[in-house]
Amino acid sequence: MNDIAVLSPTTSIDEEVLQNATASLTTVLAELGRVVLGQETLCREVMIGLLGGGNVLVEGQPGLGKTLLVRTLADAVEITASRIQFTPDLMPADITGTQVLMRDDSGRSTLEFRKGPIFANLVLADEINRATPKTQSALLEAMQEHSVTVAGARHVLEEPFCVIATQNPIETEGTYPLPEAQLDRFLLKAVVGFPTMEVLRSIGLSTTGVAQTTARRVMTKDELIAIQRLVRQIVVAPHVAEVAAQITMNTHPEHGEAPARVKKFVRFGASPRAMQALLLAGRANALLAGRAHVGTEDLVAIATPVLRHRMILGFDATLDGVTADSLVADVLATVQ
Amino acid sequence: MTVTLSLKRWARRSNRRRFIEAIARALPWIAAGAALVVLALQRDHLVAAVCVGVVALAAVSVLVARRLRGTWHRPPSFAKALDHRHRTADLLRTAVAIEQRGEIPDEVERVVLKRAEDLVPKIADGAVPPLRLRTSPLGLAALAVTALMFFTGIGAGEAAKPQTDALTEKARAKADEIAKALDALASDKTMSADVKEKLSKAKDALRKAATAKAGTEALAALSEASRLLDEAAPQIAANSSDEMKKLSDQQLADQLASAAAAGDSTRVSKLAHEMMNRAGGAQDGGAALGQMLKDAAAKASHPDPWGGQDASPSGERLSKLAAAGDSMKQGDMESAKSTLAGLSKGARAGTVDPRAAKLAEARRSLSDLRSATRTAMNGGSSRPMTAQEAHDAAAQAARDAASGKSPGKGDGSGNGSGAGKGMGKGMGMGMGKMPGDGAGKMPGTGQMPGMGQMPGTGQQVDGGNHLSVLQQGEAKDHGSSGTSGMKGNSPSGAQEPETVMAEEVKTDPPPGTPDGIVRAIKEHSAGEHTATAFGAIRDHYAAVAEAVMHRDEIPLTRRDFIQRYFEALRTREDP
Repeated sequence: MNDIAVLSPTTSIDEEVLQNATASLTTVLAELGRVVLGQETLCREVMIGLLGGGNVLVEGQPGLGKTLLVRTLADAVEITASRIQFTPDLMPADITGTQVLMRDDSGRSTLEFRKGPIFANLVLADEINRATPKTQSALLEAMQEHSVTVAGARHVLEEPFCVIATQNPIETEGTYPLPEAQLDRFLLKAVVGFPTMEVLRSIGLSTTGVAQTTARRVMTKDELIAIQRLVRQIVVAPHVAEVAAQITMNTHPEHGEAPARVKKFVRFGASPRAMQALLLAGRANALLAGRAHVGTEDLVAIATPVLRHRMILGFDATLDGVTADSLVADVLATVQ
Repeated sequence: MTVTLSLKRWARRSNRRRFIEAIARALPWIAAGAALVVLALQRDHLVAAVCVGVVALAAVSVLVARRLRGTWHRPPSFAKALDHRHRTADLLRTAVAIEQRGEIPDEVERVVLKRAEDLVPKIADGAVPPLRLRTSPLGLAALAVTALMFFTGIGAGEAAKPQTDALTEKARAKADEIAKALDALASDKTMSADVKEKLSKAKDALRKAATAKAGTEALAALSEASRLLDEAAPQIAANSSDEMKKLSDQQLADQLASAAAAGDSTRVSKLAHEMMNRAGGAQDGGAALGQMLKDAAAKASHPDPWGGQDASPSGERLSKLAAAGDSMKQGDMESAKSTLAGLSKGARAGTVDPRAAKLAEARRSLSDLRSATRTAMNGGSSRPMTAQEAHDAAAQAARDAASGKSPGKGDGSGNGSGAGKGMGKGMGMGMGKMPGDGAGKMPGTGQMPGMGQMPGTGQQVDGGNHLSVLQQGEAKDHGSSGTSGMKGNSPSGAQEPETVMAEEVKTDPPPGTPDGIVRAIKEHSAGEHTATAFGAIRDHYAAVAEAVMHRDEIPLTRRDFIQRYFEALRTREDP
């Protein structure tokens, strides 16, 4: 484990601190990769979401290691984790917590707030699209404000706080697609791909034996918070910010410089929150790469997971089988 | 500012190298443009040269600018290029942005600057791309084509003739020869100052023609020399009474002495006649004229170096002339007249003034030179004739026709309007009889050129010269009527105008003369003349004839006759 003292809020940042931070993150990623086989990209994107203080929507078929990833991350970093299995009958109070009537020793009854599973550093919202919109929206405040309000009382969530929601793209019957407003609150949307033959073989061998591979704790909560703070200090030059703005603008079909396919298939482009997400995720990506500044390639690297769920495609795109990823690639081609 | 300063230095160095590369690449284009400009200048196409120069300059500028557009750097763009080359993820560009922001960098920014400063020395060696001098293959091809044009003159048409030497070596030698002849003539102490000045100017014109770079310039200089010699000729040896009247007293005395020295009885007779006329009208009774005559005789004589009298026949004639001058001075006009009459009889008939002969020779040579120069300029090509050339050719054709010559061998052009205008100057008439044998019928019975045949009703009796107003030389066939009657589109119009050309006429034609000329002459011959229209035409023709009659090709003995012809053409209203 790295020396967390060097990353306390009062520590002045120098080359050594940056290198230590990068080394810590690399260690965490290595631990994740050791347990979650063949999902390096997913691990990296989830890590970026965590470092950026955002939430990550993970989309993939069942059995690809989504839950394992969250559990492993909680093991590698000294943070609390909780899991909420979203079902149609799940109520908001089941997430946020509720007030229960408590009777003290003197027999007097009082209402006491009992925290729900949202009160954790890392919350896994499994199959979030199976819950009703009402329940889904119970997450909105937590995701955006890092707080919940129950019975008129606001309860602040402990930092670091990160929601990692999963959804299954194939079993859509009886599901409630996430509204755009809620989608926009996810910093990234990671898509879990199917592993290769070699990875699949390794998964089979490593998970069916007696000995189970678990991650070592390599980072503390304070260290994570310090690194999250450091991420926001990563330098963004004006020309990089301009590129981020240009990328965001070019997702809008009404923008003059938008690619032709964007104009044809996109109904609504990314919101200004996308621009913020681009820079934030870019900073995290730069730090993961050991840089103290954001380069254009950082934006390019994280543009797809940042933008793919923020572009609302039209019916023509569905008919023609056009994916958001391919449209983001078109957008990126205009700035490179 | 370490990073920014380094980038500035590298950017400047890179820009210099890229500029040199761009120029090197454009060099063939520059050379091709320059060659085209020189080509145009050699052909006196100044406007074309300027246009080609401007276009070439603009094209090269555009090429260079386009070439430099992607490679011309300032620190940020150079930082971008270096970041891209060294895969440093915008490190240098970010550092430049931090440095140029002008604010104190924070902790993380200092780390970025430190990293950039550490990077600069590592990449310094290969930071500026090396100089690669390459030329444009397309430009080389253009240069090759231009060089081919330059050395072979392809596509230049008429202008392809080399213009560096307007006259050939041979022509220049001939011009020098003529100039020397004129120089020798001018050194003759019997020449008047006016003639000497004209000869000197003609000599200068010849020198100018010899050094001219353009054919047109050389031809203009030769024309000027010819004009000056034409003016000088009658002053040396005036023949007609009109010419003699125009001479000053001194010139008259000089020419009389010259004719006496040469033994030209005809001229002595005419000049003496004019001299006596002037002496008769002089208020002092001819004393001044007598003195002038005496002085002129003394100047023209070659005295014996031992103090004796010149015993040669020429000396004797000049002695008689001096005696006649003495008589005039003393008021004894009868004695003077008698002496001069004796002088006329004593001289040989037809002897020509050697000065006039020399001048005539020079004029002939000059005429040949002009003709050769004009031919060289035209290059013998079958290009379409200009309006002026058609005009001249038609005039020549008319002259040929008027003299009874068969159509020429040249490429008959018959170019349009040349016929009408040309025949005006051609105006040949077949004078059937020679002077002295009775005048033939005058025109009026036939048709003018262009309309059919010229009159030719007279008959040649004694084989005299068959005469045409503008025709040079003599007709070979005696006794026949002069066949004229040029058709409008003469097949013989392609002959090169040589000694008689319209532009040599020194008198400006009256405005509008050529228009309706045939009609006016025809009406006049039919008795329906209008004095004003015909007067204008006659004046124009008289001016042409006057100019032409001074030429050597017109026999001296026929000039008076021609003069009378035009006087006969005068209408009653003419002054």
